[in-house]
Amino acid sequence: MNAVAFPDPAVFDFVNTNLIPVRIPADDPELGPRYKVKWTPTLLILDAEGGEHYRTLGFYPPEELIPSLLMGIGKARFNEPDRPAACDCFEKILSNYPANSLAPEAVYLNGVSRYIETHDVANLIGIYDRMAAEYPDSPWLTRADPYRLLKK
Amino acid sequence: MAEIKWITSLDDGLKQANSKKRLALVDFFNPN
Repeated sequence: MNAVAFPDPAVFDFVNTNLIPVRIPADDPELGPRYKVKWTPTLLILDAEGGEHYRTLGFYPPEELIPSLLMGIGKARFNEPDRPAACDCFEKILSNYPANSLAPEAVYLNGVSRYIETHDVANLIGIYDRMAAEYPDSPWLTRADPYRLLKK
Repeated sequence: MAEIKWITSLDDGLKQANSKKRLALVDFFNPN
């Protein structure tokens, strides 16, 4: 991963601004088994207690790594729960990387986060409508399909 | 070229994550 994505200036700026970067050899006798690391590169997003919220496996080019890290941060904030912070991550994926493969999931999680905060079903309906309009071939459209039944 | 300042201890990284209210990015790499 170091040879491909991390030297990229945008990735460097993103990681230094948003995360605490830690590098551990995969054969670490304690941490490898604890986090079930079976292949490299494995990237984890952990909270300050060491809890895992997101994982990637394999090499990511720079333009794929930043939206992936945004998804990881967003999921961690969703779980905390800090839903406004989570929405901020999901919306950055949608505004800056709308063609990324993670964008449909960002639509889904953004709408769910907003629904949890507001209990307004318009947010769930909005997931379906946006998914159908912008990502009609995504499996996430199927996952959002019940929300179309909420329309009056 | 800019380089990420990697921390090589998970405990130290998590302490920084706690103090800076950030999440940790842990890169498990192939040492061989």
